[in-house]
Amino acid sequence: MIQLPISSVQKFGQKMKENISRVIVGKEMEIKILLAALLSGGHVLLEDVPGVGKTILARSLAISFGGTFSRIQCTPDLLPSDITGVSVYDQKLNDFVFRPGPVLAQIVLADEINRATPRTQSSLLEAMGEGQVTVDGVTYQLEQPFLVLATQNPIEYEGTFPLPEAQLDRFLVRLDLGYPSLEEEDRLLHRLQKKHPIHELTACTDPTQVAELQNAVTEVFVEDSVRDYIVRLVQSTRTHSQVRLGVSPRGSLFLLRASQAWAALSGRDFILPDDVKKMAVPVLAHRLRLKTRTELRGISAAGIIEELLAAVAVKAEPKIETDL
Amino acid sequence: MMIKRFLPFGAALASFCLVSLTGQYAALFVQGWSFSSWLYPLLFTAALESSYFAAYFLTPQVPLLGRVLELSLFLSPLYFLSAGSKALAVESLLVGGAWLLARGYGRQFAEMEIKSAYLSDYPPSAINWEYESLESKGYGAGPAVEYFWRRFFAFGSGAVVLAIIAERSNFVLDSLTRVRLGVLTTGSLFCLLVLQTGAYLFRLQILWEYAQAKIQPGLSRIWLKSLSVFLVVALLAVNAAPVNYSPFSLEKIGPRLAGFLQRILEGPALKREAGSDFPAAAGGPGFLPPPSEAEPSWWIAVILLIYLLSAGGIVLIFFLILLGFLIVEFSKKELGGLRGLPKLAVRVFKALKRVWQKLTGAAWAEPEENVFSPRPAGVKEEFLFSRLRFSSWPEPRNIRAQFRRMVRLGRKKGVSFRADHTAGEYGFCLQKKLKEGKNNIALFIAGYHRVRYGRDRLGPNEQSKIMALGSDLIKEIKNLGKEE
Repeated sequence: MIQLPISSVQKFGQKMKENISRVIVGKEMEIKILLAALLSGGHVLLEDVPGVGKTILARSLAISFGGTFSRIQCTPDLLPSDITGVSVYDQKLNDFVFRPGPVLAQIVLADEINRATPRTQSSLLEAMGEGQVTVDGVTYQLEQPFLVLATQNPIEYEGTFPLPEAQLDRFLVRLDLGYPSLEEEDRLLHRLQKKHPIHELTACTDPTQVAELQNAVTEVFVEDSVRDYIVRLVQSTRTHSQVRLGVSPRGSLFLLRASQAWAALSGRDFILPDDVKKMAVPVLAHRLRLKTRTELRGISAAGIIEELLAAVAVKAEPKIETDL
Repeated sequence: MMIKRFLPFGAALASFCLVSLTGQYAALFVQGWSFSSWLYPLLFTAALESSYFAAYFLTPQVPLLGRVLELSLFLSPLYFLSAGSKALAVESLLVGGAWLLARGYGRQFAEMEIKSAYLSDYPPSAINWEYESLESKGYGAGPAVEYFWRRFFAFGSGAVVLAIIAERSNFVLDSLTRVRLGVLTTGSLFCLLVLQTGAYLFRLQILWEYAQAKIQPGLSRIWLKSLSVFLVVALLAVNAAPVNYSPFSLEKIGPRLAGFLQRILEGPALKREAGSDFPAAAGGPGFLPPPSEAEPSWWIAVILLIYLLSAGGIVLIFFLILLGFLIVEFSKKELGGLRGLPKLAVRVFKALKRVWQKLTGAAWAEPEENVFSPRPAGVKEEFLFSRLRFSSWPEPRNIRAQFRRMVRLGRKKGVSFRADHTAGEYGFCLQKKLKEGKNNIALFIAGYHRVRYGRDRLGPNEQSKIMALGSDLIKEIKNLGKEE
């Protein structure tokens, strides 16, 4: 495979952002993080209150990406076989034939994932972790690039099942979209007055190019001190007094990959501690399990990560004494 | 006069001697292959080119293809000279080895110069002359000078081991081969020592330059004198090796020394008259007769006493060293409460350690908290810098040094550099304070990022542009608050 230059990653980012921005108003940072996740080969959990555009953002990305796309509307009665697929008896062939489920697409949108039962949620684990699905003892490799975009509403608790830690850990980033600003909302109303622009959205790339770009991103240079910073940052989550469960080694690996992708999208072939800082909250916050006491005080995981970012030394220039 | 221009030549010579020596031994061990004399100039040229190129021109930007072409320049003549024989592989290995060895040395000289930029972070009066500073430790990489020591010991030991193996293998060596082996072994160790001392001198010259020190002309003479002492030691070391290439080898000196000692010890026996009834044959040759009552050999008793005292002393010292080592290792820094023998043992061990450290250039000195500290111990950086005028400092010589200078100047002007600050964030803080350099700071920081975190170095033009921006910014930061 020919190695693409980093500049092509930046061009790809621009193109995708422009395409998605035809539908999504504002949210440039969130779109860039989403693209970073796509280029790092990670999965995305979009979490926010209803009506802020989670599903639309996921669909826009899926359409712009141009690969195969499927959508799973998660409900409590959804079964694992509804996701992975099922073997059905074919009378003509006189044999069982595998009928692939929606997970065997390149972009899978799992809408309201926390409405599915833990058993059904777990059926996504193998696909997300290993890029394969096993049904009736037969393993099917998923087509690459493979991306799961899941949405969930953090407000409603009734009829929902919180995602287990193992499932959460497999998401590269968790994004909170938040409400649009006054100006953005005004533009949004103006844009959607007649019909939704998503119906006119077309693909602006193809899966082959994305796979090549994913490859190029892994070549982004990581200087030793930046790697050390990532490790120290992740380590600090494990010893924090208000944290019950710190970030796993998978988390540090994902932080590194996401920072590489962020740097490449910014047109650099090396990462900076600034990239790590930018990606720290989206990549690490959902991996933390806080102590009950901390949660009751209203301290969020993102707040803890912000606190740690302010506490862990970057060591930009080790020979300079820093001020407190 | 900077010694750097001569050091690559020394490196080339050392690489040439070492690889030629290896080749000579390979010719002994590999049946049917002989070390061709045309390999000498080729090895030397390859080493010379490689070391000078690495010391002055090699950067990470030199593409791999360029390096391969450079090496093939020396490997391609081999094909014609060896007429496509089977020995081509061995000869290619030797040429490649000389080229790589010299490249490593050359790279170290360049690295030493690059690392020296840290010295511009401090005022000239704060540069100290301790081992840490001399060895340029603590820059995120191994100390440069230690590199030469490691190589000296490794290659020196390798040469001795090869000589011993060859000696034990009972090869029949003609006189020319003996001379060659002797010259190359001596030459290797000679060159390695010259390199070692040269590297120290180079580092010292860098320190002198940054410290703006005026050096007495006689210092070079003292240096040369020390170097010649080192070289004499090297020659002795080579000639004391258990191989008989030299008239001063142990095998030749040993029997003479033993005979001399025996003559002293057997002195009375030799003086004994021929008609004596003492049964000399009973004990065989070398048997020491018991002292007779008529002729009391009191001096033998004295010799024995001295011998016993010496042997006892040596055993005692060894015991004390071992005990001291164990105490220091196990009790670490809690040595204050020791009394009596343990205290003596620790003292002896520490004295020996100090002597060893001095002899070996503190190659295994204890790691210290503050490895490189140009400021006097116990003086806080803020205090030190508040008393010194920045105008007397040497100009920062690279982009990273410029950034560090900005941070220090910025701190005086109220822009603090926090531990969690990245360079970009600090640049942003500075940007708020600056007026003219508002746009330049972003450009400078972008350049700094490439130097600090990037894979490739900047080109000379790009670097000079960014450094010019940096100089302007430093001036502007210096003048901050003056206009008000």
